[in-house]
Amino acid sequence: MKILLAAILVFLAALAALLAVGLAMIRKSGKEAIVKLFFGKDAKVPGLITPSLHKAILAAPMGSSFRPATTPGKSAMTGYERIEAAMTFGKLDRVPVSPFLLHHVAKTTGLSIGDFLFDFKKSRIAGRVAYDIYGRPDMVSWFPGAGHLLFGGERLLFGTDWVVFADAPVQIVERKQWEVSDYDRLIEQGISKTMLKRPPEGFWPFIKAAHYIRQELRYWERQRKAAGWVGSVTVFPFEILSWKRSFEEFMVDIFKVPDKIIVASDYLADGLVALAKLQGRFTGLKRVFFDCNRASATYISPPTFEKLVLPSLKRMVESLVADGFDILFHLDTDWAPMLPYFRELPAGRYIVELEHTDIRKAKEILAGHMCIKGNVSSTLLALGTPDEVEKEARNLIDDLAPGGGFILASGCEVPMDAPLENVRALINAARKYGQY
Amino acid sequence: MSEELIKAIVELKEEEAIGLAEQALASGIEPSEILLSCQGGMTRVGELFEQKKYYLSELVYSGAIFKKISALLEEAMKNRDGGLQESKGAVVIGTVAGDVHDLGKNIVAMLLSGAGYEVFDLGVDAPPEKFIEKVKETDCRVLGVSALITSSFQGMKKIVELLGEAGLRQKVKVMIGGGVVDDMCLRFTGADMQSKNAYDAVLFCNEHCRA
Repeated sequence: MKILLAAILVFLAALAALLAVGLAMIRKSGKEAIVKLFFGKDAKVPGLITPSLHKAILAAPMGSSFRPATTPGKSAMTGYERIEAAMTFGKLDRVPVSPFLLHHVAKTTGLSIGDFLFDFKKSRIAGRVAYDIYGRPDMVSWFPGAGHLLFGGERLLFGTDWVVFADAPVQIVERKQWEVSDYDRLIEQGISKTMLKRPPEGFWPFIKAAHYIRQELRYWERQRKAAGWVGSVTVFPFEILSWKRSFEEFMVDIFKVPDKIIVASDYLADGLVALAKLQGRFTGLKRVFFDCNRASATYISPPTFEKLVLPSLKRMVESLVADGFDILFHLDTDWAPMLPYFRELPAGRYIVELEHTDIRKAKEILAGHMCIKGNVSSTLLALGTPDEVEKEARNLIDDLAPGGGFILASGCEVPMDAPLENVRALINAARKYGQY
Repeated sequence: MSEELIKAIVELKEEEAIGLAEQALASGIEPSEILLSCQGGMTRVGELFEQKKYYLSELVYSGAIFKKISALLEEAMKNRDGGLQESKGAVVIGTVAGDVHDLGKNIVAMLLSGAGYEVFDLGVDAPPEKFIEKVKETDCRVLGVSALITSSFQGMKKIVELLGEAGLRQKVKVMIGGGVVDDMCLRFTGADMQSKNAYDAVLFCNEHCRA
């Protein structure tokens, strides 16, 4: 009886400790901003935890990053060290390489897309096997729960729908969900009433995904000495608003109600930052993925970017950098005309992933300020031969490696139909031609 | 053609453009004449887009203004015989099976309608056979296939092959568009034109769509 009682007490104490750590993370990440994001600008913020308890809990190990110490003086650098050096324009032994691999891992290891995204145990084993099959890239972009982190979070928070195909990547379905009046409603009522949608499978898989991501990032960094890709995801407010209004209507809003976009973006920024910080603390990797697409020059003009996107973006980045986060901009489509604005962002550790942007021009603009990553085209990876991929990778290395701050990669994601030999050729090219 | 109306559309002055169209209708100008001015405005917007002075957002907004004025003109034509304008030809477009992205396709459809083409949109995730059926049904000269993911290349290739099997390859030109298409993809699929740029679809149809 006594043993049972003691066990219950220990269990309750552990539960309380976990809850306290969770609350401390929320507080540290921006409790007020999170409450206001969910429930509107005038929402009352409950006193979740006392300041003294908060201080004590922050000393707990879960709140800190588990980055391993670098080991200077060794002849060959680890993947982890290379990515760190590339971000800080430090000395490198060779060009780091990290094609963006996600759905391709499922195909390579014979998993269905469904299992890869939703069966975390299976995808963990598959992911670890794939690392060696691909030829050990320096940074690992896949892990169990990645689907939930990348697509699921957007689906959960912003009410987007996704389609899971058996043999094609997950895709977000876009349809109009908002009228113009909903911009104001967002600020009054928060995302809880204007965006949030309970996913059919409930919230538990999202919490489980974060737990698996944390474990797996630790595995990559500690056991395999490779850098984890990101531990946290956020989106430009501009992008979220465009999903809610639908693309064509939003393009008209840019001209007819620009002030509403500015005010709503401003409102979303603080809450999004707090959520990004919370994710980073939970997964243990303070590197945040910024999803950006609609704010590029493929869609809008530089003056529109300056007026409608830059102010909230600056606020978000300043807050994240001040809290010690690395920023990973995932810039699909063409961003060249917008990149001069990125120089206005505070000094920090950045990785800029490029797709259709002229990467040589990007280097000219961002050299010494932000590390660039890219951009062997997905079409070449899907349709080309290993020799053609190697040639393109070599050209990129020749032009972009001098001066450091460059990671060889694919432009956006490696497509599922890319032959494995093409991916291996890309990774191998960094070893073959990328020596400094 | 009304220079004022053209200018209002080019400068994206929605209320002014609609007001001018209404005034013109009230003063007895033929709806088809007003439509020509609107199309003149859209052509200039397209040129500004080609010159990189306008971006996609300007192109989409001008299309939305055009749509509103077209609706007004069609309303005015209701009690008359005949259509507003003779179509410049039929164009079938769609996003191939396994792909649900429709943003680029919708913009192309809007621009083609604005340029006077009759557009038959198959929507997203459309099987190759559906494209062929529609081509036969509409007797179109141009077929447009859109994709944002490379796994759609097989579907595009299949469509071109099926056109050949149906004996339509000589008659129907195939244009492919989307973020992932390039010359390599053009060779792989056997299509006639590729572009990431929506306005190129209008230029291609102007060249090949003479009914």
